Amino acid sequence: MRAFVYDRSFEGLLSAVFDAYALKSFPEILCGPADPPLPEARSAHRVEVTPEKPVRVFAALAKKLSERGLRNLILVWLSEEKGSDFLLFRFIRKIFDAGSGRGLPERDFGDPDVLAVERLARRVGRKAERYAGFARFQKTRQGVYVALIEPEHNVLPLLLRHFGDRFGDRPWMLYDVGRGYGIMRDSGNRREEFREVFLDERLIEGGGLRPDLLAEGEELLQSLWRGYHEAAAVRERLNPRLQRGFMPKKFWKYLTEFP
Amino acid sequence: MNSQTLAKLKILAAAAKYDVSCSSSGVSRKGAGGPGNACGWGICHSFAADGRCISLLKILLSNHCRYACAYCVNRADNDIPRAAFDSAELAELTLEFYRRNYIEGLFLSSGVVKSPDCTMERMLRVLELLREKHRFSGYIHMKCIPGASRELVRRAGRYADRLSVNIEIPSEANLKRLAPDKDYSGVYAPMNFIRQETEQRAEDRRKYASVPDFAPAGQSTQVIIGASDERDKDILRLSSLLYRGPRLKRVYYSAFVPVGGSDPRLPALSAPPLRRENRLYQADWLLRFYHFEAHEIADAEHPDLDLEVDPKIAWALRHPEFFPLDVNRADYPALLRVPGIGPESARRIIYARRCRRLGPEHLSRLGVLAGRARFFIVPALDRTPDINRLGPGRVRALLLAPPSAAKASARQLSLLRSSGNGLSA
Repeated sequence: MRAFVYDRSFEGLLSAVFDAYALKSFPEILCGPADPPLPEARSAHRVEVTPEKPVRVFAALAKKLSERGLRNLILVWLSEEKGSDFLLFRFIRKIFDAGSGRGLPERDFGDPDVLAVERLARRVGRKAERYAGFARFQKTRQGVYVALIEPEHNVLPLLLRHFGDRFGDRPWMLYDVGRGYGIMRDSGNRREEFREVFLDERLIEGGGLRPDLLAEGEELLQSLWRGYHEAAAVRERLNPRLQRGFMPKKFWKYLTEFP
Repeated sequence: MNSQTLAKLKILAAAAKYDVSCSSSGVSRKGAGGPGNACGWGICHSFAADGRCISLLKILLSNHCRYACAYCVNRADNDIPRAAFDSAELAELTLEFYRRNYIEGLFLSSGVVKSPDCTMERMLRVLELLREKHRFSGYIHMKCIPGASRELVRRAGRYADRLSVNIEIPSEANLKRLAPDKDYSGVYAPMNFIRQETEQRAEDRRKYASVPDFAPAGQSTQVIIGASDERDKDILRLSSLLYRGPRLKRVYYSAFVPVGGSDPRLPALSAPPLRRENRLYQADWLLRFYHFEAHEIADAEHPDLDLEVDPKIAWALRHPEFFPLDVNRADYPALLRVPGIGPESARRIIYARRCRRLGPEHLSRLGVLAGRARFFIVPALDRTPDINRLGPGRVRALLLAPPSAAKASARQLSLLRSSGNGLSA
């Protein structure tokens, strides 16, 4: 059994594809540098990432895949699901090796890997859309709108354009509590770059920021939203099961409407 | 904004909650200097305890109303607390909610104060503040009051993404009986005017570089189900005419909730007809996304929807001659008629079969619901005999059986078949 060892980055994965075609030898398993050595691995190839390899592989993929197919690659990568890197590796290989048949190789859904990529990408895309709705921002004393999320997949990068567009020139931050990183955009220049931020754990309390960090009037606003949320339900139609189906309990911790 | 705001907000949200439209879809727009953008597919921000989506701040500007519509909680003679928002206060509240990502925008309606035009003027003030003063580019849905003048509807279309005029009662005779202040011409006049304006803009756009938008997300309406005696076939016919004629984007169905008092003109319901409402939505989906005609779903022979099975299964059970369908050959509209195959799985089937012939092992992985589809397709799943062999009655019983019983019967069926094969071999 042949193993490829790579640095667990997206560039690293593309470099692994590059190496496999260069060596004409394909791995049966992908490992990270810190993974314990596999007794069954007959030989291991260490993938070296250069600036050139990922660019060339991606450019080749861009010729073979539709825009949607390329987006699916990114979505599957961001899923951070176990084994999704090797799934992508097999998928990319199938795309490169496909002959010119009647159908598009990226839509050969009778193939389990192609279908798995489509389904996983769709799932991650849907989760990102959910957070576009469920992220709740709190205004701080400094006037920054901050939302905390704890997503299963790494969807934060998928939400930046949406919220950037939405907030206009106001400063905001979206923070992934589980992964311990966030992205912030300062006020003023709309084109200003996003920057990565890390929050001290002590600033976070429950599903939000510590109350003393919040702007004056923030508490009133939150109580108005809770009041609205409660009043919007029709008593004769109460259906908490349906509610939880659309909005599972795991989201509730971060939702203002559920104190 | 102060502590009184909360009291008003609760009254005016409760007064608006029977309007079921929730969608924030139909228009995509990037932010333009001020706060806000819009997403074509719509975003759900929360779900209320009744399981309905909350996307917009759905609120009445005022719940004072001079009309006396029997089915409406806000009717003039109903003894409920009344309140009204100041336009600046409501605009500010919308912005504050929007910035915290509680909502996608505003859905503004109102009780009829003084006259339809006077009410529209007040609502328009809120929209003007949001769009002109605050440069808000989030979603706005505004209700047009039946009988409102053209000029005011035109102004509303300039600011709102979606407009709606509610039909409420699905036949004019019943509307007049239950809502003496209303008639169909008051509803259809603004509806048709909105359509004309939309078409005019589309034509202008071909000639001129820049034409201001007019309700870019189109218009919708609502009918109340079960407050009057129309049959489902009448309601679906009305919907399909509305989708064709005034080109409505959505017709919403609202199960009648008895709202206080006992009016002899209204039926005595023990609970809102939620099951029927659900079936009507499913039928509506068939009209909009599944290439069905209204008369195929309900007609003189079957005037009401089957409450036990969904309308697509009901159609399939009435049309065994259409099946079994070969998934390797059938075109997209035909695939959509198979129970258990939806737009997504139909598309996947069509892409996948260009690359290879599909066998039973592929189908459930592609998203086909095998439990339903197995009676209607070739290749057979679990070697299930198709609807023509089993007969619609038996298929119906199998589809209605609880899942565990259905599994057992599937095993029995396949045993029957395999032993049958064994005998003939």
